[in-house]
Amino acid sequence: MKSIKSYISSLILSVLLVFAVLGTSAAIAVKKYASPDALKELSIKNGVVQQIKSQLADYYSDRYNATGIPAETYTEAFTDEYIQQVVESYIDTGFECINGNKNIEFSVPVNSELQSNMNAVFEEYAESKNYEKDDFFYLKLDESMYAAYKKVGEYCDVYKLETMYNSNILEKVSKIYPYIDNLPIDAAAVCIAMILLLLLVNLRARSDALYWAGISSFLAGVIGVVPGIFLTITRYFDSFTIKQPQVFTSFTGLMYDAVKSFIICETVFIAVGIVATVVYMIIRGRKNDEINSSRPEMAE
Amino acid sequence: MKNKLLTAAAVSVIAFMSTVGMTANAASIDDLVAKARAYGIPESAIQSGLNQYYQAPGTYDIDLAMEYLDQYHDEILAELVGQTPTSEPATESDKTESSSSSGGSQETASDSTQASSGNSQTTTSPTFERVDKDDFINMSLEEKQNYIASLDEQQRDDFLNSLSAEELKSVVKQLPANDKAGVIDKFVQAGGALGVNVTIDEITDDNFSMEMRDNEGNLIDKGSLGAVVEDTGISYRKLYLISASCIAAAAAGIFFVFRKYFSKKKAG
Amino acid sequence: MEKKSGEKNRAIYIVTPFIVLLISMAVLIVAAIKPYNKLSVYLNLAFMDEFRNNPNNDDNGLVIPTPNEINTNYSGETSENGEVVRPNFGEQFAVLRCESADLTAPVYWGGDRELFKRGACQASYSKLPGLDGRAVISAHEDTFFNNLSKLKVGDEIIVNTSYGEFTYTVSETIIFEKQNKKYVNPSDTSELILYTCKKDILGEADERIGVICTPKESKFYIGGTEE
Repeated sequence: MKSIKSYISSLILSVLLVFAVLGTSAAIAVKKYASPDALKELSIKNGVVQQIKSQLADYYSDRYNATGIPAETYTEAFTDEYIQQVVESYIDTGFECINGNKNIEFSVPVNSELQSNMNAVFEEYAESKNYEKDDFFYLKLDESMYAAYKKVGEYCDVYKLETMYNSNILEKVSKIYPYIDNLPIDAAAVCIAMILLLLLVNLRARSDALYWAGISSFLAGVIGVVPGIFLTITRYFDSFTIKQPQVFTSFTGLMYDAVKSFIICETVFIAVGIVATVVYMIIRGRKNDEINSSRPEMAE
Repeated sequence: MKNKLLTAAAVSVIAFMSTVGMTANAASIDDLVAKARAYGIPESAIQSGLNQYYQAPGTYDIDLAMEYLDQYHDEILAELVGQTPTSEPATESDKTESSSSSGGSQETASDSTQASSGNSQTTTSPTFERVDKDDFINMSLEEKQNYIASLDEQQRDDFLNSLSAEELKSVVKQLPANDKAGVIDKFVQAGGALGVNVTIDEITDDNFSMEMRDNEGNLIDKGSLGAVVEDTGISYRKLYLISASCIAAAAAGIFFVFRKYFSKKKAG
Repeated sequence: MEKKSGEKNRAIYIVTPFIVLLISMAVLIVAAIKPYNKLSVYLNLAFMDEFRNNPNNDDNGLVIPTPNEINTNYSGETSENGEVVRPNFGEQFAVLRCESADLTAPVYWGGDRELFKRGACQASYSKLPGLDGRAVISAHEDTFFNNLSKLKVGDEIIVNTSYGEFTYTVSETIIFEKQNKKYVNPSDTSELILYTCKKDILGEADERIGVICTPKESKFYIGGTEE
């Protein structure tokens, strides 16, 4: 730190580098999970299918007294594969909007077993009551099918993408989504730019740039890791009291995984910072030794 | 304020009935609601009370609840004139509301009759030409009291019996804090007996704020005297203070470094 | 002298990281306010029909009731007249939207600190949408009513409830002091008042900004919104 000017300039660049490093870690975490495949994988990992099936079974059991339709009519048709298919369909549709298609419609894949089960129940009812299968009969059948699909869709929208679409949140995300792919690279480029500028302002002692970069990396890591560990240890996201267990699991699972990725990145930066600072100290020490040995009269 | 007092009263009264036990009542819940509206109790309070009532209907002493309401009414009139009228006020013509078991209640949009509007209340018509309702509401408390003092006994009784819900509310609103406390105390006591805990947060000449909780401590209503302009800004002063402290500490550190650097230079 | 010089260097090397840390924290605290508020709004909008009460979060004992279903895409029969369904205190009973100002907010019945964190709040002494009289709705300026200042005369506001959809048109923009209750007092005039704090760097302001909206269309749902 040869002059006040270089010290102040380095200080400012160091602060900017801290934010650049934080941004890089955040960009890596965001990029990792801002994709349909990542969310689908998470949904499988978190076992939301079983939770959805359980919720649907409870719902239709409760509704039996009101509708007279046995719960098995629905639950037998809601296989693990079908439920996973619906979950993934909602994720894909949500990302269609995020990718720029504003006119989307969240729909549930057709379930032929459900349709045949419903037909069978309605037919049986009509026969037992000698009810004429008129237009009203088929209207009620259609309405029941529609309601069933709607309920399945509602339960399988584990990331609430449809609600976000209706609230125009997805449209807002779609404006920044195209940049997310290159975000980590852009952030890393900013970090490198900051380091180059540090070299520039410390031309007279280029090793000082190593010190500044080192402490920036270390401090950015600490600023990121400490809250991240706090969020994880205190299970902070569990305090989001969300009614549906599958939505709760999906949301908290995503948050904890993203925080974990962020913590890992930040830990790497802590290590980089420590290494850079130690290297600087070694270089500095050697320089001081060289200076001392070239001035024997000063040592006395 | 009066709205909130009346709110507390209504909720307290109606909820009170839930704690007393099965009794045979001369009055019905509809009678109680009509009386509450006649006395200017806010609709939100009436609904909160009804919700409490319908959790265990038929176990309440509605007659006693009616008495509490009358006591409240008498207290207001006593503050206004120093004595109670010789006849009971007429109750509101029925604009009953159906309440669902889930707690929501239905109102007809085309003929909403909330007590705050006072449009549907049937009051006894005075035998003399009394001051216009809006004019009375706009009078100060002193002017109201002077006006009533200028009437003879019969006219005064007739006038007090003719007071609408809005007029009663306006009186309570204008009471000084001490007098308000006396009226509010009726509600707090009634609330305690009715299974509804009324907590007064603040009471001043211009305002008071209160919370009402059921017997499990759950918040069922809150508010203050009349209308409120809410605090819709989030204060960031603490955050800015922390930030400024950090900057100040950093500046101190920079100053320390400069001193060290300069002294190093001079020594060099 | 060399030893002293070495000590000074060490002091600078030790103090400097703390200086960088303090400046970074100061900037981060201030810079994080707006993104935190935005995130909070988005989470509340995304999960508004999912949140249940967590007594540990609210020391006020507020139990937020389960709301009736609010359909923002109702396609059934409607009528100009109908019945309102009075909500319980703390219940989310409506969704307020304005496309032109990019405004969306869940609306809760009654005002409470916890409710203001979750959405807009309608004063429980005011009239429900669909009833004659004044409805008064407010929300935090930093969160749900962040775009309220963008509203201009002629903009449409839609309020969806469980019993109907009500459209209003902005007729006037207003600014008033906190002590002035002219726009929040009960009134027989059928209108919708939306207000929030005026933007202030410290977050709290004595002035309020808002809009007065006149009713344009009332659509009461016939036959309910249940399947």
